[in-house]
Parts: sequence; structure tokens; C-alpha cells
Amino acid sequence: MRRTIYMLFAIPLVLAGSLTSGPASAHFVPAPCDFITGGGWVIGDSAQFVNFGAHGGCKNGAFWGHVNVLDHAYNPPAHLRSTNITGYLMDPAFPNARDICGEGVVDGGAGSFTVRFRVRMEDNGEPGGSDRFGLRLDNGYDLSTRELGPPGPTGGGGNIQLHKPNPSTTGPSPAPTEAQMCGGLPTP
Amino acid sequence: MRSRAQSFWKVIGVAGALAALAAWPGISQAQLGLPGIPPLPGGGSSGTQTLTGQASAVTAVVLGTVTSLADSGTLVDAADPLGTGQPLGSIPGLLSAEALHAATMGWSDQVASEASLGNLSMTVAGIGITATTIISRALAVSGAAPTGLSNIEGLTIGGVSVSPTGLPNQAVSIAGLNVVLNEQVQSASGIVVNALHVTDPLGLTDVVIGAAKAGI
Repeated sequence: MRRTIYMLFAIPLVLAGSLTSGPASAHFVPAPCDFITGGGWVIGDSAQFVNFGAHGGCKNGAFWGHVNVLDHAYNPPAHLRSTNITGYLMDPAFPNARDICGEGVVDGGAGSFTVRFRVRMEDNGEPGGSDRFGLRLDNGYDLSTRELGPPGPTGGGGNIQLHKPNPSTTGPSPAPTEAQMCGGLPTP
Repeated sequence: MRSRAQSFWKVIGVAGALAALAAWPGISQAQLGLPGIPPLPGGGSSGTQTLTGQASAVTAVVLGTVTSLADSGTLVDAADPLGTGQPLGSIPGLLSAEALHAATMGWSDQVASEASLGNLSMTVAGIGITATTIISRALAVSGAAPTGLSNIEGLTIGGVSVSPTGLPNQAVSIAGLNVVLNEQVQSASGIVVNALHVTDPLGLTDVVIGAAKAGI
């Protein structure tokens, strides 16, 4: 069952992963560092619900956060639970976006396996319909970054908020490279 | 994933109710009994900023037993933001939800808290309640009125679709259930936002979905 769940994630998207896994652009830890939070849902490529709740950032010289995602393309739904946050990055081309990288466990109910993941969250204002979310796993799964709304079969819902820095939002020094933070996983 | 802290919350609840009674003489007893987040303390005058923040995806009181899912804990220091999450959450016989998340963080001049969950399925007093996504946010900024908001999408109660107005404290009564959408309790020092607050007519079940508190 564990293998089946893994393959459910891997097979449909391995080609997409191979087509988009070229050299990553220069993403880096924002300076000063900050936080991003959000929850909601998007419509996946199979017209399924993908629910997420996540927050991340820098905290007192380290990376911090939690990422939880459920993809209803699978039965039972496959869910990602972060176990370690290894990076928090910004993309100069999308200043309202932050990527959270880390390690986690994908569990489909009968079994589980560990993955590296990279989440993109983008805050494009209120009420949240223009905010964007995406997820990539190191097994080839790729939920490309997409808008949360408007609600309906072509959209989703929820809200993402990029928060300003505070005295605690210091990252590791020296800042690790993108490859060190994300293990070579490009932005979803 | 799930924590039970009946005694703790009883103590907190009683203390919080007393504090709220002193701080907000105008609010009702029902509001004082909010199960999601302890009320805010009254505004201080010591000259130092006191941060208060907390968020929880679910807090339910059933026959006196309190159960919380994805509770951030209490913010005590701007240098120590708090957050938690879980992919699935359930309270047997009451509810299930997905992608639960809660976070609270502070700055020298403000506090922000947020809670969210997806795919809520709940039954209170035999009445089904579902929602696609629920989010609550609370923001308290020094020198300004605290603000809050709730996002509730795809809400049905007893099979009837309910459209949130977006206004604070939207009351809905369906099949005997008392439901408040975007419940907001403000004080001079902050705000508590409960995205969805459900109580049954007998007072046996009191559930808050998406609670966020911020005060400074």
C-alpha cells in the first residue's frame, strides 16, 4: 500500500517534474526576514480539492513553520505534514511570494513515506482571491502555483498573509544557499 | 495531535471571565463564556506593551470537556512567535477537518494571530454543519483600534447554504442551533475573533471554529 501511495504521487507527475526541474533561479532568504501565513484550498489538475494550512519564516537564527496539505486526488486523500523546515526564501521576481522548504511525511492512510517539499505562498492583497499557492515534492509531485480564487470549479478559496519582519525574524548566519535549503527542488 | 486540558481551561475560563467582566461591562454573559480563546485582559497603564496572542483551529466544549485542535499556545514574547498545524483533525462524534493551522506572532507595536482549517464536517445536536474553508484573523496595533476578519466559504447548516455577510457577529439560528459568524469581541486592548461559533440550545455543546486573539 505504501508503494501504491507513493506511485500515485509519482507517476502522473514525474514527466512534469522532469520537464521543469532545470537550474533554479536565484532565490534567497529575505533580508530582513519575515513571516508568511495562510490557509485555503486550490483546485488540482484532476479537478480535485487540495486543502492547505501553512506558516513559515525565520525565528531566532533558524527557520520556522508548519506545512499541512491534503490532496483529494487520492483515496484516501494523501496528506503532507512537515517535520522540519529547512528554508525560507523570496523570489525577486515575485516580491509578495515566499517559498517554504522542508522535510515531511506523506501519508495516505495505510502507509507513509518521507519527502522533501517546497511550498510557494503568495500574498496579493485582500480578500485573498488573488493569493497563490503551490507545492512540489521530491518524488515528482508538482501542484503548480495557482490562485486561490474566486471560489468555484476553476478556483479555490482562502487567504495568505505576508507579515512584516520583527525582532525574532533572523535566519541562520551565514544564510544557506537555495540548494542547501531546498535540496535542488525548484519552485512549484 | 489533540490536547485535553479540562482543568487548565476551567481555571483560565473562570479567570478570563472575571477579567472580561471588569474590562467589558457591556458584553453579555454568553460572550464571556466563549470557549475558543480566553478573553483579553484589560488594557494596562504601566507604560510597557503587553502582548497577548493565541490562535486555535478548533476548541470545543462538550459536556464540560474541552478539546482543542491546532492550538498555538499563548504568545508571551515578540521574540517567540508560535504556530502549529496538523493535516487531519477530529473530535469523535462531533467534527472532522483538514489542514488545520494556527499561528500567533508579535512585534514591538502589534500582534497578529491566525487560524484556519478546511473541509469541516460537524454535527451538533443532530444538525450537520459543513464548510470548505474557515479562516480567522486578529490584528492589534498599538494606538489603533484592533481589527479582525473571518473567511468562511461553502458553509451549510442543516443542508441549507448560509452566506456570510462579512459583518461582525452575524447571528444565524437554524433548527435550534445558535450560530454566530465572524464573532468579534473587542476591548481597548485587543480583539478575539471566532470565525464560527456554534452552541446547542441545551448548552451541552459549545464549539468555536477558527479562533484568533490579538492584544497589545
